[in-house]
Amino acid sequence: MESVRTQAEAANRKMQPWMRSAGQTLMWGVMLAMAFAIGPVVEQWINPYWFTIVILCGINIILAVSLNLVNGFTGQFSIGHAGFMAVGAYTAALVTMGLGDNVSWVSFVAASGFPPEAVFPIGLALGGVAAAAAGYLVGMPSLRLRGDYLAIVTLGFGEIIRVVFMNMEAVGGASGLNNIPFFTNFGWVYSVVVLTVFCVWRMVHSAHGRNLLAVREDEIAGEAMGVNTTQAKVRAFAMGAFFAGIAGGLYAHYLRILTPQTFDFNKSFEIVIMVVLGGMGSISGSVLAAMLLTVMREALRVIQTWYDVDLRMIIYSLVLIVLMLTRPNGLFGTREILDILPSSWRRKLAGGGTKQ
Amino acid sequence: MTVAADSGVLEARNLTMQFGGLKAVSELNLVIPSRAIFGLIGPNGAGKTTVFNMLTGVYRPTSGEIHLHNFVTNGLKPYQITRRGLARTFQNVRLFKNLTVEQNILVSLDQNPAKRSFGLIASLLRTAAVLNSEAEKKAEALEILKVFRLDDRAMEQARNLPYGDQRRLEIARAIATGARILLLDEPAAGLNAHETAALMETIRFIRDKFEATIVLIEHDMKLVMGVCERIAVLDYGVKIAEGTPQEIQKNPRVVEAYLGKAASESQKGGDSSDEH
Amino acid sequence: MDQFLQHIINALSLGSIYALIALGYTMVFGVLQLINFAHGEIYMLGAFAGMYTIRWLRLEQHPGIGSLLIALFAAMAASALAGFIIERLAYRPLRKSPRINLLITAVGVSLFLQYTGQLVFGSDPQFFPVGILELDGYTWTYGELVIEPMQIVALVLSIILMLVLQYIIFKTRLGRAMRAVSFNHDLASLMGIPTNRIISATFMLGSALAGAAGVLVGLIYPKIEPLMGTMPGLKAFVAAVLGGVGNVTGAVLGAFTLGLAEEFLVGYWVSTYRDALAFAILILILLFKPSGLLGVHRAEKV
Repeated sequence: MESVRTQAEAANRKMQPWMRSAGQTLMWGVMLAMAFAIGPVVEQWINPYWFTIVILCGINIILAVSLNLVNGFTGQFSIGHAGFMAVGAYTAALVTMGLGDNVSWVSFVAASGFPPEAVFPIGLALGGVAAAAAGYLVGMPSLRLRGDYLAIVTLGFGEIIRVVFMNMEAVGGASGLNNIPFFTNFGWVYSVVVLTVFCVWRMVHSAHGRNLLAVREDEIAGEAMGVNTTQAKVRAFAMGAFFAGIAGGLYAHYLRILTPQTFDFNKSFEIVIMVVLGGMGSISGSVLAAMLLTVMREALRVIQTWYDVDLRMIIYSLVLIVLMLTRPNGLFGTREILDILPSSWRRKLAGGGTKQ
Repeated sequence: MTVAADSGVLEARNLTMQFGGLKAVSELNLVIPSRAIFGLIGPNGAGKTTVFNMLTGVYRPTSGEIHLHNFVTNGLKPYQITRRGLARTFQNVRLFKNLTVEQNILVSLDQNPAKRSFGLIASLLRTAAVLNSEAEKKAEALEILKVFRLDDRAMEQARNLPYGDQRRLEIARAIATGARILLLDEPAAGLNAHETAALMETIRFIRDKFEATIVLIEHDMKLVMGVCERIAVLDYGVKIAEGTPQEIQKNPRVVEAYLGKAASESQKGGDSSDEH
Repeated sequence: MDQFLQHIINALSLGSIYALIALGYTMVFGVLQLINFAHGEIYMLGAFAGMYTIRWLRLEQHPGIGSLLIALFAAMAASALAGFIIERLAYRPLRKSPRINLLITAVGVSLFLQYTGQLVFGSDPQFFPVGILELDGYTWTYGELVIEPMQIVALVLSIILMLVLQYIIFKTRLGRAMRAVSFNHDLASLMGIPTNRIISATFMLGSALAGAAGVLVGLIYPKIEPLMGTMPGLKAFVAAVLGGVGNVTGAVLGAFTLGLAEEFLVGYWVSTYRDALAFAILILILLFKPSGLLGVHRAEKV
């Protein structure tokens, strides 16, 4: 009986791999389309206050999951994610604002019958690419540095990026950019969320991802087994930065103003704590932690008005310290939410989550 | 399966490594024939691990040349050398501890030059070819694990294996890279007599099964004398003798080097001198 | 020429403060291999401790070097205590966990102190009572060259402290134990050195120096606030790396080099890039000479 079933399964597997491939990818495509489909409904149903929270949740999920690729799966401790976000945000804003009015391609788009929003995905993509380029640059020194040094270099890069923007007249210097068009909506944010989770999930469950895990586990052994550890690290950095850049673009076109101070160390730290809380090496952990912390932050805003201090940071830092002392693996460790569910559920739910 | 196994020759020519004022290895010449089991021995601090580190690209030799399959590998990075057919194990086991046994093997198979590799986009889209290749790799990983009697532990985390299994997994992982020249750094360290005997079997078996060439560093003289066909002896970074186990055991310089050690340390050195 | 000399003098006083902070970084790194991110905050605590001591004891009514020394020692004691508590509560329990956990904790402690500091001290800048030394009439001018007496006081005091530290490290039993621990923990404890106590002592010593730096910086730049520690803390770390982490002389050398570089960047080129300079130096040094100016390169053991 047992062997009959496994034989059937094997046959099934052998028969049409292209169909399984297409089917699995299609599932993600449907989820992506769903984000756009239910977007208008969501926007009508919930009030603006909750809408803000939902949007910020999405952006934070993108940031946390993309940082997890670097910190959790590759084991490189980056604390400068906000820098990449800044690069993406400024780039995307410059694109949609018509490159400082010098290029009238925004009006060209408008004249050619497309909605003005059509420049948005271009802006987001270019923002992502610019951030990835920055990530590549930061990844390069990481080939020589370990742990603490890398952390402080990423922090330094984040600060340098911020100072550079502060000194660039083209982006408004310290006062920043204003009047960025309002393009970000539920559909855009959550389609990017789906895309990010898709890419990171598939990445870590591929041969490329195994290289990242090997780097995390033991760089010297990885190198000795033929893993090009440098390439693996730089890739992780560039890909993480790419999505951080897109998240920056979404953020810019939601807030409509950008100042260099938005992307300071505290922002980076906020993303780090999401990753650590969720579990370094757990994608679903990052998603949950991002949602949790975003909502918590809003709840804290109420208490905030009593004092003149950023209580959020006190709580975040305490959470982090207590977490390290008592449960250093975060909520999920390297497991996914699927691994925690009872095994009978798991089988029904596709049996996807291999242990990392 | 075989990456130029028959032409597999590893040579060191006048290999020298200098750390500051210290010559850890000087003017070392080694010729390792294909499919040999070659031992590199010597008292502690003789420079054996330094030799391994040069051969595997961890250190760049100060002077001299390394020829791997008639290709000079000086200056190549460790991963490039592995892809050219030379892999190693470590003195103090370095597995990917939090990965499963299967994943440990898969990491190596991913680097195997005989296997097809895919770009990032194809991997993200998980094309049919990618799926097929993954399935093939998993099947092959299981085969390799079977050879090393580890197949029933494939889904366990490597850190949970008993020590002896971890040592075998490390060798299996090196084999999976496709390399057919294996450098084993003290493979018997931490094993009991029974396990060491089994290891000797394993080493011969690997050589025959995978047509591999094996170079090992070892302190356990029973293992070295029992399994190696040829042995080179290092002392203070200089090769003082080379030959068959019988020749080495009779060589007065070797005895002298080891007797000095026997006075201060261990019975291992004593083994070789007892026979005298 | 005057301008050039002026920059040199500014750089020396700035560098001496970086040096005091950098020394603590380097010492802690020596014994724990940890970048103590919270070190800049200990320096901030020192500045506040000094300020409150002066206020509570009304030391301003008795200006003079004696009063300054009282404030200085109070600040050093308070910072040493803070360093002790942090090490005991946050770092020691993690001695055996992965280094990354220790690093995350250090970042957490740093932010916790920054923002709790805002809660306790208020987030607005406060003025450090510089009247503790009555030196108003003593500003020395020569052409365009202006030398503030405070700068000289800070420079002299920090040099004295550095000499004291050198003495402790190289001439006392404690110093020898510290060097042993930083060479190898396990070996040191096998030799009967109470490793934990030595690590605590190192933290306290390093923190005391940072506390002193807090008071001295209060004299030169009298505005102090709870977030003041972040930048100097990071820059002092850069100085430590520049000199060769773990190397005491190197930390001082690195600090003065960084002070000079910043001063000249601001003086002759652009002031707005000041905070980016340190990081640029850091990245360059890590790329091209990771062992720093005076550090010894240690090959990784395989």
